[in-house]
Amino acid sequence: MTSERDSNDEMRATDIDEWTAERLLSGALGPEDAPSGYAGLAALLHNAAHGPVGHDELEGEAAVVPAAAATVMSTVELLPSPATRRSSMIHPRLSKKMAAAATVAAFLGAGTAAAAFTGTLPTQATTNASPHADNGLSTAQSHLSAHDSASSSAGSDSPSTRGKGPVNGMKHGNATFGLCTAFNSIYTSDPTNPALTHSRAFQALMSQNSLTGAAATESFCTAYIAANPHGTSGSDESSSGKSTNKPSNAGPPSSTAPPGSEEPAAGGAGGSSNAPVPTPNTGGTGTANTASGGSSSSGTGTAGTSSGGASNAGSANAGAH
Amino acid sequence: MEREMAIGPEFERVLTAAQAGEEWAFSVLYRELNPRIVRYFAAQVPPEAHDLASETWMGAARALRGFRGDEGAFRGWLFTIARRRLVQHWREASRRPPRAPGVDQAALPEKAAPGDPEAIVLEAESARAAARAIVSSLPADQAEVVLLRVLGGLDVGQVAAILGKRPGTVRVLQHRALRRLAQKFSVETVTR
Repeated sequence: MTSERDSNDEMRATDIDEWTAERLLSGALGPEDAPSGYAGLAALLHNAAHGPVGHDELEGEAAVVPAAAATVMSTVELLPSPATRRSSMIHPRLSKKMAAAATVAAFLGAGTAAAAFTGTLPTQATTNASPHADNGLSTAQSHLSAHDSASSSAGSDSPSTRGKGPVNGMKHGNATFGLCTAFNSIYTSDPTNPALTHSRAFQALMSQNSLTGAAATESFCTAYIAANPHGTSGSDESSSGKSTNKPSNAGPPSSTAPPGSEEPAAGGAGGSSNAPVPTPNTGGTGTANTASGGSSSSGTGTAGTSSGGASNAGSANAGAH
Repeated sequence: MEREMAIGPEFERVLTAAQAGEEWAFSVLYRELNPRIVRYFAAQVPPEAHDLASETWMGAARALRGFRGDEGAFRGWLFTIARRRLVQHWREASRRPPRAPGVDQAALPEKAAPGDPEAIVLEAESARAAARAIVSSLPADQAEVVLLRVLGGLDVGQVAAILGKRPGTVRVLQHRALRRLAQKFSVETVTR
């Protein structure tokens, strides 16, 4: 190990003073300003740092930037803390919740591509997200499969019409449930978290439910989750059109009917009523359950496949570049 | 010495947006820093430079929400990730760089012939060629210090932290490196 005394001796031995060395290394000293004998060195260092950008030094931008942005979104603070993880080993029911939260987190990561696919993003965002999907994201593909299988019973979906109508992934009750779960989780830990208002997935949630601001969205989501406590599970029978035996729950506020209630059957509700839910009551509970449950199975599948797509995308993009 | 901050006062806003997953913000960061990241890798492992640069960004994205600091700190943080990725690459490749880490002399077609320093300097209009010339002219430890200081725009303390060395050691290495480079590239007339 070289000592500080060696350092001083070394500096005395060289004819490059520290100020000049710093300027050379920072690229601030151009060859024309360099002391005698150092013009070549100054040119070399200056060019290494400030030389023209090579034609290929930015070529990965189209793939890396969307993938990195999606990765950031997937790291939204939904993953369990170590303490929670320990407790989840003790309580299997908690493990399921954490798994759902992780799925939602991964879903958020794929939110851009998924939302772009379903037509819920503006044109610019869609344009940006599409290469992401093309670069190895299986998100859109998986979403398509889930969407097609869900809508095949209604027999009215095609690539040309997909995403144009009100039926899309973001409006599925399950997606809303997942986004609401994620939103409230973040909001609870940090109401000022910029992801609440900057996330495209959350923005889509807000815009499609005519919500303004994080507080209003949190209220909506609280009501929505309360009305759809099984939003990510146990929806098979309702999605197949059977009546449900779910326990009664208060529905969402009448001013914010669950998105699922607005969806036609093509969303996978399989014959569920698309009538709005004006007032939470026992009758409304059934309607709300049908609406939410009708889409939750396909939505769960969507979230699951989206998460896989997002993870794969990150790895694929990283590996490809 | 004041380090150059290319993004400047907007950095905080860019960082916040990037931490929220905004692609435009990542584009700003990428365009500013990726050329230097690529050069850093290209100087040492040319064939894998782009792959490693991309993996560096993905690694940064995974941890970005936890980052706090200014633009200089961000550069240091990003190059720390880059160097760790490089070390991991060497480990995975099970090869120890004999002199300049991972430099494949055969992969330097634009490198001038030995003994022709002026030609190398003139070739340095290619930034990557300049970075490679640094690596090929110095012992590995000196080259690494110079690359991190020049390409990363990092100060002595940051480089010392990344390399796990004392600041005094880094100063010694950089002075030896500069002296050696000055001897090799002592060209008084540079056309550009």
